[in-house]
Amino acid sequence: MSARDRHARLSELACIGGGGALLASAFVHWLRRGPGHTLRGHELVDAVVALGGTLPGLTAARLTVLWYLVPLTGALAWVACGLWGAGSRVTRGLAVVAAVVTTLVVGAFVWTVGTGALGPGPYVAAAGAAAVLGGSWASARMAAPGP
Amino acid sequence: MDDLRERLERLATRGRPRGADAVLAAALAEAGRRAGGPDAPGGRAGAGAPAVRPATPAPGEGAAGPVPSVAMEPGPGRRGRHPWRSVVAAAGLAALLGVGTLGIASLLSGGGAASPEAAVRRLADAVAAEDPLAAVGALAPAEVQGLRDAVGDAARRAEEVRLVEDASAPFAGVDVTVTDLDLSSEELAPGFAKVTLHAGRLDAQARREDVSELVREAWHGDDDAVWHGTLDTAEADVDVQPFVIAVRERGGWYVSPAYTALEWLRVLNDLPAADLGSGRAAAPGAESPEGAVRGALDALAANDWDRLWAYATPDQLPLYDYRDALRELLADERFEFTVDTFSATTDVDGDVARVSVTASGTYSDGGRWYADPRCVRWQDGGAPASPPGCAGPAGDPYGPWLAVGATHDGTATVVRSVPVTVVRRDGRWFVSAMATVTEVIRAGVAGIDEQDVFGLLGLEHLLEPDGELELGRSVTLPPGVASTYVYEFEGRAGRRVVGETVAVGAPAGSGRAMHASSVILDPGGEEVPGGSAVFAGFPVELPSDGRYRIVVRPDGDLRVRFTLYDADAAPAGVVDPGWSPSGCNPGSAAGCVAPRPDATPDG
Repeated sequence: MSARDRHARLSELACIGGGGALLASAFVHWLRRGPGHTLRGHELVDAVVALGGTLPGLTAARLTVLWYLVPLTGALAWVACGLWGAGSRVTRGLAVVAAVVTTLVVGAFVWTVGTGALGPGPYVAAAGAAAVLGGSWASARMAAPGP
Repeated sequence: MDDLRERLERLATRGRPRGADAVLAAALAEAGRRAGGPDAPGGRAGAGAPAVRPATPAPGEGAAGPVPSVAMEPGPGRRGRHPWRSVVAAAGLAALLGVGTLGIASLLSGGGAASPEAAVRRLADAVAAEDPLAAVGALAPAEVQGLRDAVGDAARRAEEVRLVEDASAPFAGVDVTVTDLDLSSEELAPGFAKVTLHAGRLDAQARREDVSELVREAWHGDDDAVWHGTLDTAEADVDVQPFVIAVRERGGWYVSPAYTALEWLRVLNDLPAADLGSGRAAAPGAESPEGAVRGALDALAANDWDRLWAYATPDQLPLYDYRDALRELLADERFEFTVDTFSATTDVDGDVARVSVTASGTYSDGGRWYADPRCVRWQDGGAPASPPGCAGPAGDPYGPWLAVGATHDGTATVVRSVPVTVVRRDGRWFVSAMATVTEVIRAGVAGIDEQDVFGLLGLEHLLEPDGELELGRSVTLPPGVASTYVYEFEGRAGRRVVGETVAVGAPAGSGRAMHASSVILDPGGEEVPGGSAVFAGFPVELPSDGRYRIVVRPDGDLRVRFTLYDADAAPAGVVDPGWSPSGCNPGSAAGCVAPRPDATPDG
C-alpha cells in the first residue's frame, strides 16, 4: 500500500470515526455533575437553560433541535463517507455543517454552565466534528490534481 | 478506469478511421455475406470472424430473416464499491433512522417513562444521582411547571451565599442511594396508575470534608453523618402500603405529586374515591384570567367547594377530581368573609397570566381585609379605621420573604401579596396554585442573603458587623426588613443590658411592643442565655469582659429602631415591670439578677 493510499485510508477512518464520535455524544453525559447531569435530550437542554439563563437568540427549543442535530450529522457523515467517499463534496459540506452545529451547541453549554461542569459529551462531539472535518478535507486535498 | 482507456485505445487503432455510416454499412454487408454462407461473394470465413454474427431466428420472426446482433467481448466489468463502505453507509442510515426517531419522539413526547414503575425508578435514580433537575423531570410536567427554573435559581443563590461551593454541584458531600426497589402497579383509570412500594432501601451519607466551608463551620463534630433506612412492607406493620400515583402525559409516565398527595389524603381519611381525570374533561374554569380569580374568591367566600375546585388548573392541582372526598373532608370548615370591592390588572403572556388584585371586604368579628399588589392586610374588628392597603413605610416595606407580622399599631396582620398566576387550558382560564406558590418560592430564594444563611446556621459571630453599638444610643435599621443585623458593643462582666424596639412611623401611644428578636453573643461567639429576651424588657447579665455582638431581626414589615441600655441606666418602662429579680426570668439560667435599687431612668 502506497503512502498515498495509507493517507487516503486514514482520512476515511477519521471521517468515519468522527461520525461515530458525533453519534456517541448523544449517549454520554454532557454535564459532569450538578443539576441535570443525568439528563439527555430536551430535558438536558431545559435543565441547562434553567441553570444558565438565556443565550441571546437561542431558545431552549432551538438548542434542543441543535443538540439532536449533533448525532444526526454523525450518522449522515457515515452515510456520506460510505456512499460518496470522505473527500466528496457532499461529505465536505456535511463536515462543515457538523462543525458549525457542534460549535453552537458546545458554545451554548459553555456559556450557560461554564467549562467546569461539562461532562464528556461536548468534548466527544467536538472531537468528532473536528475529525470529520479534518478527514474530509484531507481526503479532498489528496484527490485534487497536483500542480 | 485503466481498462476502459486501454480498450478505447485498442479500438481506436483497429482498421482505418471512418464514419458511423461506413461502419454500419460494413456491418450489414458482413451480415449478408454470413447469411449467404462462407462461399458467398465477399465472404470471409475462418478464425478471424468478426464480432457481428446472425442471431438465431426466433419463432415467428418471418421472412425478414435474422437480425444481426453484436456480441460484446467479455470485459472485467465495472469495479464496485468496496464492501466496507457499503457497511458504513448502511450503518449510517440505520443510525440516522434511530437518532431521528429518538429525537422526534423525544421532542414530541416531552419525555416520560415507559411504564408507571419506570417513572418511579427514574425518580429514585434522580434522587440517587443527587440531580434535582432530573428529579423534577420525572414529575408530571404540568404540576411542576416553573419548578425547574426555581431549582436553577436556588442552586445559583446557594452558591452566592456560600451555602454550596459550586452551583453545579449543590449536593456535594451528600451521597444518597436508593436500591432494591420492589414495585408493583395497578391502573386506577386510563392514564392513572398506583405504584405500590413493597420494599426498598435508602442510604444517605453526608461527608463533612466535601460540604462547603460555611456548612463545615456549622457542623458539630468531625464525623460524617450517616443514615440508613430500609423499608420492607412485608415485614413492617403498616396500615397503608406506601404508594405514589403516576400519570401518563403525552405518551410518557410521570410521578404525580399532586395526585399522590390527594390520594394519600383520601386513603388516610377513608374518603370517597376520586373521579380521576374528570377535571381535565369537565372543569369549567373562567372566560378570562380576572374571571378565574374573582370566581375562585367568590366561591371561597361562599364556601362553595365544588365551584372553587372548578377554578383550579385540572392538570396541576386535580382538586376537581377529588371533589367528593374534599367536600366530605371540609364539610365542617367555613370561611366567613365577604368580597365588597374587586379590581384586577392582568399581564398576559401566551397561556399564562399574572393577575394583581386590589380588593377589600369584611371578615368575621367585624374586621376588614384589604388586598393590593403589595400586601394583604387583615384589620381587626373594632380597631381604628386605617387606609386600605399596606401601612408600611415608604418604599418596599417587605423583605424577601412572605413576611407575616403585626402592623405598627398591633391591630392588623399583613402578608406580602404576589400576583396570582392563571393559566389557559383549552381556551378556559384556571387559577394555578402551583405556579403562584413557585413564584413565591422564587421571590423568597432571590431575597436570601448571607446574613440569613449565617443566622440560619447559627454563625452570626462570623458575620461582618453592621456597626458599633453604644449603650443608650438608638440605631435605626436600614430598609430591608426580615433580615439580620449584627452590631458590636463593649461589655463587662456583671453588667446587665436590656433593650427596647420602636417601629419607625408608628402612631403615638402604640404602647410597648417587641418589634424584633435578638441574640447576644459573648466574645467567644457563644450565645448568652437570655439574650433573646432583652427587647422584651428582661435584663441579661454579661458573663465576661470583651466584645459582644447583638443580632437583631426585625419582625414582619416593620422598620425598626432599637436601643440597648445598661439596665442600671435604662429609662423607666424599659425593664419589664413583671421582671422579677429573684424569679426565673428569661436568662435566669445564668443566675437571677435583680435591678439595682439605685437605677435611675435618664430619659
